[in-house]
Amino acid sequence: MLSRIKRNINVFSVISVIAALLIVIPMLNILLEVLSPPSAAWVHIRENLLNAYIRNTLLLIGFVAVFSALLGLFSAYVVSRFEFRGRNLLSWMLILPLAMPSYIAAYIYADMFSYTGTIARFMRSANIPLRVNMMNLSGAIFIFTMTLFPYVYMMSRSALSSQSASFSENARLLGANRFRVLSRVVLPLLRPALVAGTLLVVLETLNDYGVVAYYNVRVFSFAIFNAWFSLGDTTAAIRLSGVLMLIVFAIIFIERAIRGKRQYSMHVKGKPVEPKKLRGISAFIVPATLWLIMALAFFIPLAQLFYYASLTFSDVINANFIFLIINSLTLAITATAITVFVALMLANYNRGTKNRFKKGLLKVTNLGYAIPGAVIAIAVMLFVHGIDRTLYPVYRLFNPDTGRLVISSTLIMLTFAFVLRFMAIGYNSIEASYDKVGEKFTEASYSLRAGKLRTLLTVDVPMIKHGLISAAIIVFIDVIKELPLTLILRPTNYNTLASEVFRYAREEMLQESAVPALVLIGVATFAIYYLTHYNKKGVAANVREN
Amino acid sequence: MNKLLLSLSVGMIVLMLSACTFGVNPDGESITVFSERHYDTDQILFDLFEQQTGIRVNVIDGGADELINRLENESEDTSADVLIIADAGRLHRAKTKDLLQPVESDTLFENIPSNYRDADNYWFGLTKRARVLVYHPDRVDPSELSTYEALTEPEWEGRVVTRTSTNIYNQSLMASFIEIMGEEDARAWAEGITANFARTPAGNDRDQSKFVVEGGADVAIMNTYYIGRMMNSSDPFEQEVAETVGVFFPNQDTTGTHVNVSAAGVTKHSDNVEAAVQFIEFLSGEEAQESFANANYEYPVNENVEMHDLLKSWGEFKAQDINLSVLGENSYQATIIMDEVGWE
Amino acid sequence: MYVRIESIDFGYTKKQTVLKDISFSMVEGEIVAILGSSGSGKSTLLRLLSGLEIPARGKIEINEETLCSADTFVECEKRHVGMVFQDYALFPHMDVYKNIAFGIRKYPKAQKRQRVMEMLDLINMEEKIHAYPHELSGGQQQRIALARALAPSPDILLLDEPFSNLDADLKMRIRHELRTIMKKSGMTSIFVTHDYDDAKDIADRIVYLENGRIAYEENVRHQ
Ligand SMILES: Nc1ncnc2c1ncn2[C@@H]1O[C@H](COP(=O)(O)OP(=O)(O)O)[C@@H](O)[C@H]1O
Ligand SMILES: [Fe+2]
Ligand SMILES: [Mg+2]
Repeated sequence: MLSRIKRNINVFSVISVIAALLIVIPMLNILLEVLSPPSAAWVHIRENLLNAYIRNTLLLIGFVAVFSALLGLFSAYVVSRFEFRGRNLLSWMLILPLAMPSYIAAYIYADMFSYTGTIARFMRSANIPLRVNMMNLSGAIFIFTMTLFPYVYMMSRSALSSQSASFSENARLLGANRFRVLSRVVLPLLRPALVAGTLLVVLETLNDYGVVAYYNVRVFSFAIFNAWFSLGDTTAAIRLSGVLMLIVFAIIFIERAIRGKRQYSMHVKGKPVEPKKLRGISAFIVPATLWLIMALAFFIPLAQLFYYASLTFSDVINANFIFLIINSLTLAITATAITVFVALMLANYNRGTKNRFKKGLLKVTNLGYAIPGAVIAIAVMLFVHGIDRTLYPVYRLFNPDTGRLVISSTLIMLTFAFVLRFMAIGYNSIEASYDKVGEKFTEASYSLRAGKLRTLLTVDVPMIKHGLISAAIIVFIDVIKELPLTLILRPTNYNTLASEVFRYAREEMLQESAVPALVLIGVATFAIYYLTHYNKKGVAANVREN
Repeated sequence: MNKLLLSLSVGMIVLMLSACTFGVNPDGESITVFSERHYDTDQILFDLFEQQTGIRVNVIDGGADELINRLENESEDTSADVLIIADAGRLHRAKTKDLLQPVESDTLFENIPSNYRDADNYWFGLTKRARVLVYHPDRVDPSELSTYEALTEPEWEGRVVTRTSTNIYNQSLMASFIEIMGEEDARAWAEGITANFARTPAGNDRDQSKFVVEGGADVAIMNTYYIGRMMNSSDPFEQEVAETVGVFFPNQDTTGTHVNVSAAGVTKHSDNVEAAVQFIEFLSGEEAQESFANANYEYPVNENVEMHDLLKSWGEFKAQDINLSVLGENSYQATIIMDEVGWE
Repeated sequence: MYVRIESIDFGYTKKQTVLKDISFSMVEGEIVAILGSSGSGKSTLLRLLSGLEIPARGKIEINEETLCSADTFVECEKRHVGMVFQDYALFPHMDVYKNIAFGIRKYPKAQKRQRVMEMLDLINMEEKIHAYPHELSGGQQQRIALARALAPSPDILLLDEPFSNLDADLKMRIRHELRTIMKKSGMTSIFVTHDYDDAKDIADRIVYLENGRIAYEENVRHQ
């Protein structure tokens, strides 16, 4: 509706179009690569491995999606609809597993169940002849479910707490029993949130490299690295990511098709559902289940890390350690700020345009999240090197002795890759907030003769503040945990907490990786605590805005 | 507003502090080394090198694949002069990607036996590791062990572990077999060993030895230096594992134990080739070799240099008699065969 | 003529026709009601006048300024048009003072305060100056929205179903109040409603809208 107003070129549209193009061009490069003739390595992969990759990938994301949806939905439902001791604490703590990077959880769990591990030792001393092998598909499913289900939890929780009681009450007046209310009204209305959360989980799973490589689960991201490094064939790697992108599109498309024209997000004003007090045995069992989930997903690996940290901190902590923290923070803060800023520009622009081409362009900027980090790394590297080589004559004007790779040797390249990779998170969160707020306030502001910038700063931004902050924090946590991009694109000797954790793990020094891992988890935990507590109105209000 | 200001200023401080981590740009001659190694003792060696030659050593560390990739992308603009990574297979990859240059150095030729350097002198081995059989003494008598090939016999069914076929160590092992036995027999070996796996391969080398001690398997194929590192682990239980297992060097009466190297090469686009060569020569010299090898419980390539006591305790052994260049040459084929026989 | 609207056509999409050949004019200070059933295009007409939508064809002139024609289009924020939205759209994060002052940012501080106080006086709500929208009743919110729209002294005031959120009782009282306020401020106004009684009580003239066309006009009062 704002379309006609914004037909004139303005700063926002310029920023948006430039940002969108910057994001799209590297990805187009990849797609073009898919068209090149198949190499011998590709033929080998197709003949011998592709079926297994597809099967394993579908199994992995299928199970992870189902389990994390169940876990997230269950915990969100319990926390928002029932009253019990520790509810407030749990309601934010259930987000904490996001602070635990999947690869760290994978290493720690495999270790705890290995011969020298705490759990295996305990079971031996207790004479329990149970041996658990974490390093397989089931183990990977467990790890991803435990570390990623909070996405579903967060989304469902906010949808549940904003779901008006009138739906349920109406349904009951119409004669539906509790189960029918749940299955026919509450759940269907939750669907967009559930799907969005699960989709995030699936995309994160598809993107992981650390867990699947260590557990040797042959899925696409693993295959891509292998084709790239073991077979030394970049085009095969890119082709594989092309197939992966197809899978992702198929998933998204199927979801859209099933949803059809039904509307799930009617804004009905009304009081939220009153939580019911849990009584009797369930007052004990239900919270205990949630605490058990928390223990498995967070506290147990955390305890193990603390133990290892106590063994190794004196070797690991030195003068340079502080720089790891500073580097991680700088990177995460810069990347987050830029991502959220660009996402805001794009979302704002999207609101104001009806042009299908432009809307399509905006959608494409979200694809970064569906492309494996390693592939984004190649794309960004080629792109930025290209820019550097083009600009070389200009650099020479300033410094005749300059090397050619000016931008490539700075943080700009890595930051750019992060923006590209995590744009979807920022964009979708902001777009959702905009959808909730609607356009009337913006229109009212224009009708009071406020210009575009003023409207953005004094009306739009304050109204979607919660969405902005939660976008920022999720991006921040993602950046600080991120591995493949960091490893491949960081400037020389720019070490971060994540790269340090991975270096130790790669050298099979898990114990030594504990200290940087704990600091990383600590920073992410702090961010989550802030996300859930920055507003005195309490936890519910904040989580709802996600 | 206050909050915003506060966060902005914190951000600024962080930015400024991190700016300090850059731009430490010393005057004088220096070389840049892309290295997979990351040991404190190395820095002492580099300082010594600087004392002797006045050449400063900047180290950029990272994973081997990452570093190769970086070299490839930076091509002629790279700052790297020397690449140091483990596994001849990977060095060969760097060579075929045209990232290294050949070096003629009598010192290197003298210090490093010819089979541990590239046939065309693109890279030079600095330390050696053997891929050996690690067994549980309660369940395996060393007399039952003989060769890699013997592990494919039916009696070993469900008793062998090693890591995945995507791991370069196993790819190089397989590549050496292709060279020694020919492709047919090597394929048969891969098939046989896969059939005898105690579990679907997963985890790293240390995990294989733990699995043996745990009772999940009886023999693991793994690198020697991990035993040394586990013996000195910060985790007492890992030390226990390393002390429990036995180390067996296979194929002593036949083709020899598989040996691989960590090696160095001068990058193709180095702008200080002379200093880079000097540096590699220094590392291959008697003065540096002991510390360089001991840092990771590896064997020095320079035969005049004493090995670590732990390695001595295992005794001398016969290594495969092949030029390690072939590991790289056969590595692609090795990977394909392992995939085809279903070694995961 | 103070307001002149000529042959306006409009559709939200290319194929749709929401308004067809709309023409009417107003003299200064006149209050016109647009009366029509739900979906007949009333809100759309106001959106066109305020510049939130662009007509496919036609011309809009207010106070001798062409806001929209074949070759000109003045954007919403540049028009001197005040608008009271159907659900008021008071900024929830600003108090009453800030809401009313929003449109007169450029006034010097003292003058700004004076203008806001004038407006509050007009709607009789001085005591609520620091209240937030959610602390106000529906009727109060409506009056604040009116004050906010009037504060910048627009050339014309547009009101979209100003009574739709009020209960019948309140509506009766406010109807007269609204006319009094509007007449007191001398504002040229268009308001949209689907209730004949509303239109009859407030407007000088009623324009009947049916399926996007003007069916007929009726003078309620003589100027
Ligand atoms: N954003 C929109 N996109 C498409 N059609 C719309 C939109 N808004 C309104 N319409 C259509 O335009 C017609 C007139 O709407 P509107 O002006 O809101 O009616 P009223 O205010 O008289 O109830 C309706 O048929 C409605 O369906
Ligand atoms: Fe190793
Ligand atoms: Mg309407």
